[in-house]
Amino acid sequence: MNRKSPAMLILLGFALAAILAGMIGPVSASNPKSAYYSDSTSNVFWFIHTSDLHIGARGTQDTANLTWLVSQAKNVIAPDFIIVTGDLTDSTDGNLFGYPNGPYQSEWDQYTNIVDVRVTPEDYFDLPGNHDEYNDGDFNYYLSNSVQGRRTGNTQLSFTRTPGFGKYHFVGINTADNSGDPFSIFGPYYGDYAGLDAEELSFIGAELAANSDSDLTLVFGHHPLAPTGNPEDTYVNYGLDQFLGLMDFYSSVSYGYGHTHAFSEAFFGPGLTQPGFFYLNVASLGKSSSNQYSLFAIDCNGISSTTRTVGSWPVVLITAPVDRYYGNVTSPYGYDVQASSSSPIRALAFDPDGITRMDYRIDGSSTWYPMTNVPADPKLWSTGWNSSALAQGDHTIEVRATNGKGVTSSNTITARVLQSSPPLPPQVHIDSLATGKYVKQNKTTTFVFGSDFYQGDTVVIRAQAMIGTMPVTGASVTLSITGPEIVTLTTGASNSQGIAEAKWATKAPARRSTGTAIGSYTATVTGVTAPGATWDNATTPQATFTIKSR
Amino acid sequence: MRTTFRFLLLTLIACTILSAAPEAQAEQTGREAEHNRKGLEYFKEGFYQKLPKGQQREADRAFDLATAEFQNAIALKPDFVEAHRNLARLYYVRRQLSKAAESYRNVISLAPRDIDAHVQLALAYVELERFDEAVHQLELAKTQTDDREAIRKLDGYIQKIRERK
Repeated sequence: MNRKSPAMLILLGFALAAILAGMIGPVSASNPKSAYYSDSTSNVFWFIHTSDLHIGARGTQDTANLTWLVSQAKNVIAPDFIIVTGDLTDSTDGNLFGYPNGPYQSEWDQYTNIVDVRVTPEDYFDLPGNHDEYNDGDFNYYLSNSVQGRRTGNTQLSFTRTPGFGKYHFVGINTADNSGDPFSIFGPYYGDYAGLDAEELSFIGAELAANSDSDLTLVFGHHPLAPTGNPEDTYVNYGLDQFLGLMDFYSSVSYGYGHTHAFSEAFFGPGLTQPGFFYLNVASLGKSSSNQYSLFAIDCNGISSTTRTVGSWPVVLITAPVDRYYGNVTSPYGYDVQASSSSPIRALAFDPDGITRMDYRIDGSSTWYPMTNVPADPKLWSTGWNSSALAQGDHTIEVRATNGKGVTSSNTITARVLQSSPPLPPQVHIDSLATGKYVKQNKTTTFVFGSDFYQGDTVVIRAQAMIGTMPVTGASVTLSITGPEIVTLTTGASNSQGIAEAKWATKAPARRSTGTAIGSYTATVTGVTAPGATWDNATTPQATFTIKSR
Repeated sequence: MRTTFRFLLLTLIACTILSAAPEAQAEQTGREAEHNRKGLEYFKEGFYQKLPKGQQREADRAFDLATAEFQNAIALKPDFVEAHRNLARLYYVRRQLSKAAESYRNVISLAPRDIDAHVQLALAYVELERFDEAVHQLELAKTQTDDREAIRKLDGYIQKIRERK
């Protein structure tokens, strides 16, 4: 796990590519598009993601916030597990500058004193960050003190959850530098040349392959995968392409990270063959003043999350429908709400004083409607929402939780409602196409069908426009005449019998002209317009006729 | 003939001197380097193997051995900056802050542009509550770099010391 030279990295990249090539074919991949909208209330579970505890940092709420998370939050929210993405310790021992020159066993002692009596290796997954690595490239302190380091002897994690309605794979990666370089006040890396070496990538690839039958794969690590705009925010350098290749190949649905001490919700897609993955940054539990942890839920394979401030209650999270704009994009992994008189809404709500009521409203309406508690799962609330009365398109759903003290908190998402398919406009077709000419006899002009014409005749092409068996009035037909000459004609509007006519005045030979070319011609319909109807473009009758010389 | 003989003799002497000098140099470098290497081994044993497992006594024993090795290296080569740096780090880890400060001063005298050593020295001064010296050290560090971002950070540290005072 040492820093590799670029040449070495290239070789390792090839090695990894070879491993991947061997995998192509027999493996499957998780399916981020498997989210479905259902009235089932039993296909949901939830967990917490936090980061950057910075135990030992001077003047922070580091130990208080961690204690709160693994005691009150853990007890009230009852997450399936908590995952912590690095910087467990500050590596400063509270020095005045905040200059990380550790590691310090005293910080790790504070950490273990807090977590060891409140979590288990089955419900708490802690990863290393750069502050856990400065001056300790072999992660001796992490491996000797962290919950998972002690359990696995590894700096990376892989575990699954199989709650009875699917399999969900979670991977924790070690993006911290492996050199053990000390912190430096000089950029660009500040002693933190973050990345994933061949051994780390091999672990990730093997675990993804071994769990490729999962419904969803969620990955967590300390560092961002790209520059953030803040030059002091280091990010994954070496091994990035290989890692993104694995994320892409195994269709991971999300990457959750910390490091920046800022919250952001985005979607990571550039350069991937799959649509990409949710890219979710949580602020620092120890050093930030808000957005210090995220509550995630997976409900019928749909992901939702809310990012919250320590000590703020109640906590509420809509789990169905999923937010159409999760990740601040039109989510490629969401679904639409087919309008119905009882479209399900589900939400989780938590409070130390208990939740006394849950309500929802649509599009910011002044009217709130009650939700009911799911008896089998007291933290889950549901209702049937009449979406059939709404216009097709986006609508906001806001769910409000009220706790025992009357304090409220809400969560809002956007769902797209699809009404039953509106009736298609009627389709007009040309029932018949014929040729003829008008003949005047005894002051009476009559139309005579025929297909033989002489140069100088006016050829009349007559089309009958119909919708089903009914003639269409006002239809206009575009015709293409092909033969020795090519002509395009447009009829006038059809009459009440659906008949529309176009006239082609052919030319007789004259002194300086041979007239319209003689020969066989074909008339074909190329377009039809009709009020309130569209052309079916399926029935295309033709009419053939001949122009002769006299 | 005599001139040729003299030339050959001088050439032989010069070759002998030139070939012998690097050997002497290598022997000296090798011994100090060996002490430094051993010192690092002891340091790592104490710091990475013993301390994280709560084995303070074993760690202290390893640190004592490391201290002796680094001091031996420095005795052989007083301008061996890496050995000074390792010794400073060792003293700092053992909370022997006055000795750490002295060793960091030695580092800085040999490598004045080692800004992080300036910061470490300033930190040692702060912990010894020698705040004026800490500020002075950081001001000195600012004169050793053109990196604006680093200077901004050093100013930040100075500000923290002044607020602390």
